[in-house]
Amino acid sequence: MFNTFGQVTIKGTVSDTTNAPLPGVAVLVKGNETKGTQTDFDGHFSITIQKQESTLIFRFLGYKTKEVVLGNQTSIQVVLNEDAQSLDEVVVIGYGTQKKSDVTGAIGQVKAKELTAVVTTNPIDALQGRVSGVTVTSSSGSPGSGADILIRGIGSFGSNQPLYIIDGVQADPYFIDAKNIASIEVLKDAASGAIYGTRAANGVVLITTKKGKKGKTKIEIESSISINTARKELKLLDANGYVSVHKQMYENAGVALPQYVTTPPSVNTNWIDQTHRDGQLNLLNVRMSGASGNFNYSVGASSADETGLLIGSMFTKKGVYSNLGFTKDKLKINTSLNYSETYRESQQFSLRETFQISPLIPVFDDAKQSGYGYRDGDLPDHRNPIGENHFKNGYTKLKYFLGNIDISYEVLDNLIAKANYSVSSLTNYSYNYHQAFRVRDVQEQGHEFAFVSEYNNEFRRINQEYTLNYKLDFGKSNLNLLAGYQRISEPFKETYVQAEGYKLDDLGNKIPAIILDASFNTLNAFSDGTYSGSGTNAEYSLVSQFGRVNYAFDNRYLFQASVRRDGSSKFGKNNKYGVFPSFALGWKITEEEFMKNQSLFDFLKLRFSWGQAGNDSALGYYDYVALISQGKSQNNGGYVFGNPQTSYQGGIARTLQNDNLQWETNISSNFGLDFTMLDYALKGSMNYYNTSTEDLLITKVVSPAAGIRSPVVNVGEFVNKGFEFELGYTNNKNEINFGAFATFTTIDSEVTQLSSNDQVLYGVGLKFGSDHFVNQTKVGYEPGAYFLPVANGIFQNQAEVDAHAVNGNLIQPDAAPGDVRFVDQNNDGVINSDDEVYNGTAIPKFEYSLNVSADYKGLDFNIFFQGVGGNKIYNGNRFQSLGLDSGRNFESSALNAWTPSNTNTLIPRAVLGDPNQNNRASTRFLESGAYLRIKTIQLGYTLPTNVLDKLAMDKLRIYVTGQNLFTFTNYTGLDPEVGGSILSRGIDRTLYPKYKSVILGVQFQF
Amino acid sequence: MKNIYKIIVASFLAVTISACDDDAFIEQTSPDQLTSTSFWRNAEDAQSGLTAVYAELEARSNFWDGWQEGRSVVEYFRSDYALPGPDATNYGHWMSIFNFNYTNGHTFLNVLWTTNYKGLNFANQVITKVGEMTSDQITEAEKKQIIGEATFLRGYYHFKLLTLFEQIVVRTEMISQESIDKALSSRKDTWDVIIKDFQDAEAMLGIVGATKAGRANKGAALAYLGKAYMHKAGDATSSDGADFTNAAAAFKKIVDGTVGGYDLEPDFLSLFNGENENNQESIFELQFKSGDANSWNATRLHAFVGDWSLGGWGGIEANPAIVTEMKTEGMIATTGRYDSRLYGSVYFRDPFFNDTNTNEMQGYTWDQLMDWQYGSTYDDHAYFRKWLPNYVYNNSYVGVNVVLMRYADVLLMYAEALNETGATAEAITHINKIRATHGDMPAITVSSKEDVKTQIIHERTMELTLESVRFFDLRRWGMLDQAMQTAGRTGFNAAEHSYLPVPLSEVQANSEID
Repeated sequence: MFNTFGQVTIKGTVSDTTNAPLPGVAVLVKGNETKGTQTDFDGHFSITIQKQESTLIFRFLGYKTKEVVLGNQTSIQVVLNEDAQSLDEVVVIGYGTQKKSDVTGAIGQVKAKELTAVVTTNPIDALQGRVSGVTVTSSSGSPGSGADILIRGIGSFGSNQPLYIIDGVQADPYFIDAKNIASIEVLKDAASGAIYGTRAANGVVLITTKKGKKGKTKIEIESSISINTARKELKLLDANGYVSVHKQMYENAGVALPQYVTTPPSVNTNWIDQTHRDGQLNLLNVRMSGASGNFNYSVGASSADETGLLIGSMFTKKGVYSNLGFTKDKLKINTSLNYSETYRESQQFSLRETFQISPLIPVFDDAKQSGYGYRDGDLPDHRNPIGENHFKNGYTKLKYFLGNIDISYEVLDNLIAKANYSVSSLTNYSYNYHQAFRVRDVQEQGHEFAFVSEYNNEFRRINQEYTLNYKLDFGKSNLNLLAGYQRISEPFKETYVQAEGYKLDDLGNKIPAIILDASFNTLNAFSDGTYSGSGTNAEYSLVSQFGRVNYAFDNRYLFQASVRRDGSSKFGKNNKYGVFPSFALGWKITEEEFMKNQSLFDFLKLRFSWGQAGNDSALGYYDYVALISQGKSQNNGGYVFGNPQTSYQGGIARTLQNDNLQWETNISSNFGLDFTMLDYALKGSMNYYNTSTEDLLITKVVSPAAGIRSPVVNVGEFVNKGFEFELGYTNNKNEINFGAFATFTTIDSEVTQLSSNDQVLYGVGLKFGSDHFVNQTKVGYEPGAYFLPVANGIFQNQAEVDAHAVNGNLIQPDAAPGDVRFVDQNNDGVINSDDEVYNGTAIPKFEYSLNVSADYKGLDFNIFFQGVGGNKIYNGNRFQSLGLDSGRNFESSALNAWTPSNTNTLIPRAVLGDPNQNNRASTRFLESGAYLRIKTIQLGYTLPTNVLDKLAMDKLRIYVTGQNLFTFTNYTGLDPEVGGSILSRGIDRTLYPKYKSVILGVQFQF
Repeated sequence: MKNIYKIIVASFLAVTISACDDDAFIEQTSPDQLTSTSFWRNAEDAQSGLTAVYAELEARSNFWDGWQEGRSVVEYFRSDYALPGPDATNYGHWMSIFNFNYTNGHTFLNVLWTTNYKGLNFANQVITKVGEMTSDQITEAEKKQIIGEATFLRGYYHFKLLTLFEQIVVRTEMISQESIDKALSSRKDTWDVIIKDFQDAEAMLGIVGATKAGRANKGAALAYLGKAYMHKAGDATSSDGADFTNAAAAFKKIVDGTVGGYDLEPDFLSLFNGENENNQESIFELQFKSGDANSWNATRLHAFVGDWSLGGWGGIEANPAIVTEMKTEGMIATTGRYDSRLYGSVYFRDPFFNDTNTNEMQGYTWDQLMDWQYGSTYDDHAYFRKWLPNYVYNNSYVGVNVVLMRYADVLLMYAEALNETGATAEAITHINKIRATHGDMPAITVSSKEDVKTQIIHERTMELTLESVRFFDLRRWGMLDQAMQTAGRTGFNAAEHSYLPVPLSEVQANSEID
């Protein structure tokens, strides 16, 4: 096998663990490393070596270097393992990239592999549990709904959504194909985000899309089907239960029984079954990528098609994208284009009515003109949801375009000038239509005539940005300078037109307009009807200068400082510009001489950062002035004078001018530690942060007696503190690749200042907005903490009612046996707001996750746990669904309500009017919110190469995934994942069921 | 390549130059709205501001929880002559008003409080901003008229609040960042503010003939000035000996005809059914019109008042006791029936409403409608008739005005004030005038001060049922406990329920209130 010169030619293929060929791998001869070759597009190589040269080295960026002893082989298959621990890995930071080992801030990174394990139509869902300190809550099961993301706790009363930067430009991740994302970096500390100034206080999420890599053209196709079923459904009373509970309700109140209780109709409708169903999500993604010569390209398309768990709800999302790059000498041009559109039909009926309508009402009723059942006689009147869904039509279409071009040129050695121009546009079109219909007894406003409306809006963002970047290495020093200038303008416009199918007769009465055909449903079809419309436009503009210095000495000591100055059109005239500084320090301890002899740590770095970032998202376009609002109708300032009567327009200021209005400032310190141990098998990092947000912008509910609309003002301060731990372990032995990654996060949130120390900001009143308050934001507590009277069991008899007294006076004079006892905290003889005491928070004290993956030959397995603890949820449906106080349907557990013969229960007696106010806001409805969820569990199989070769494929993998299959919790509502606004956090008013999925998928690669 | 280099350099230069315009770049103004500093330019702006002050009247800006249900439930349900309608039991928050077990978090309290204060905020803007306008911007006459109307409305909103709630925040200045939180005022101080505003308004306003329908005029200012004194007289915290005298003096100017020619309208029914709006009896009238293409200022009060049997929503019933009360004088009217105002105020089982020749029940008879709806003659039920147009079956929006103050009320209050100040004989003439015109009733035979007062109490029921006076009258007469007891309203006690508590929303947000 050796030729005469003692040489031998070795041939082989190099692939990754998924059997995908790796092009461009360096193949070197050990001992003579100047000699070598590279693998070609198909991962093939061929090298001629001396016979005494017995070992080859395979080296490829991002993969573990592998040495192969040849023995007698001349043809070898080499598999390279990805080197997740690689410290030379690069992370994306604001306006650049940085070696992971040089990072001084708190930056979390998630790679495509983790992101794509979750099957969803919204890529942000996939971040849940992947980065410590990042909380993702998807609080609705409605198809196409977004997720709520929170980085390091609540930092604002306004939006807590981070700034999303996609390939360097602010953009909307909802419209990015998850399969097109190469990595997501999360800038958690203010020092990392400060370079983004007034938009960065909630953290920054940097999304990098996939680029074409050198090698042959690669085509990837993935398709999956999810079968979605409700995680849980609430059970409601059936006809018998309804009659029985209502009977108790009337009898206990001493009110004569209504007819529907004494002689109920023989109808038993299960409105939940009628309106709920299983859903399905189909996903398809195609991507083609590659690079040759000066060009690289990556183009793709995706499609999602979902039917929701409620009748009438569906969602589709379709998108195409392309990333093109061109490089020549000192010039680089990159462009990316992304287009995505969604079509969404929400259920056209009221879920709340569905939960309240009587089971004694039939779905269909021929005696009614509409054919749909509604109450007869004295039954409580509710809207028939099936009927409503039948008559109403509506959908929303969103179209998103993002175009981005950047040009950079190396003007001088190491001085790079770069210009970026990007445009994005999000348009919304909504259509609603119905004919005249009646699906409840009392005809509702708006239903008595046909109706059609069209709404259009357009939100654009035009970004231009110019940066200079200069690198200088001298001695042991490395210096990197950045300076930039940016302008963003965000024009917005909207128009709305509606037509109602009525006209006025001579007496001014509404009579139906003539619509020529019942199927006609455009605006023009209503030409005999009544039109109205509205529209406006507005613009937000931001101008910024920024700069950054990075300095490293001897690769041991790291220093970074940045500053940004932002001017915003939303700020009051006294505060037009904000300045946001930051600095950070890092020390790579393992680079020190004294660490060279230890073997515990492969790498150890300490870091500290401090910075300020701003947030202006809570501000409207013109909040700092008092606009004159005008209108001719009763709800907007109009009035009628004269004879004949004429409507006059009223115009008045409903707000107050505020010249001092400005951004919120988030000031954050971060201590961090990164380490690698056990020969790079174990890697970890921890952070401790302390963040205060000052000048909080809040829509302050002011004294109603001021007669003004609640203004947005800068008031108060929050502090968030916490520890974040991330630990990863990998082990590759005996062809088993094992990996585990765990996160643990603690959050301690406190309001440290409001406009006065005794100020209380209330959350939403669940009853008509003016009653049933649950949350209070006060100095010394978490924002939106629960302050409630304590429910202390049920009075079992009159003696207990009588014993609940102060100085012989009953504390609850309206109570009777079966009613709830409330604790009179201050012993003043009445239960009132003074008896509301702190009862915990909706903010989890800790959150954790664990991802375990293993693969063996073609099999791969992954399980992902995620959980929270230390939080509470206010079950905000139950004061109605278990209210047992007026004419509506209730949860089936109402059958277990207290009666003299059923005393061992937590549900008070049914009584019309609820004289004791059993349903007042109290701890009766407060529950633990802790849960542990198996978010995903996935098993995949990749076909071996020899089979694939016959199929002319590079890869074929099939997988089955269970998503959200198991949730361990004591919470009694639909799902313990509850979001909510800041002041009203943790109130569960969800009625839309969330789903669990079984997913079957297949991935091809050619 | 050279070219690209040049382009980049040029673009950097362009940026450097344009950077000078940063201030201009971030200057944004609304394309269709003025601001509090750019508005108030001329008479049109002033009139527009004034219109917005009227817009908050009777909580009509918050249509459902304010005007349609909130005001109706709060002002009608608390009367001893009201009962919840067949639909009302489905609404716990209506019933809690009826049963007097509402809390201070009740949404209707919040809405009524809030809308009246919006009115006050707008009134103060007009009074201040129009007051600052120069003679180039507005004529003195127009300025006076506008400020006069705004001053009347400021008095009106304070009056509404003070008669509903136990204590209120007085607002006589334009709101600033500093004055948002303000303490409650004593009832006595508040009455002084109200009285002064009505007095000032009277001085500035024109008389009825010279004022557009719907606008406040001298008569309105005097009528409410007198009414304010009447209520103050019955308010133990604030009354003084001159209240009835002052009230009588205010009413006298109206009855004299010095502020325009008011007179009773002979057709009693037409005062309430929208067919004779802004008539000679009307002093201050809430304006509604059916919708048109550009505006919406309509009402559905008739749907709330109308019973199911009439095609209404069955919000309210009349306590049969009111029929008994209205029949007390017997069938002595010139018509041969009871007091004609009985039939104009209430539907009940009576030959008058079962006459198939007249079909007085909106084209049907009582027995027909009750049989269809309830399968019974419903002898022991009664329903209110006021504010119903001549058809209820169409429950959609209508333009039926609601009279807030009319001459008959002024005459009765005048009679009451005269009687209280010793001029009983003169009081009797006014009572008799109303009885004859609206009731077809003979002159009264009683003559003592006590008997005349009793008669006035009766006459106010005859005349003003479902016109938001009964509960408030009972209170100023000190008769609430007695009346509620008679009506079986066991949840009521005057100490707790004579006034509504300050809403929870106010207590929570206002740091000056504990």
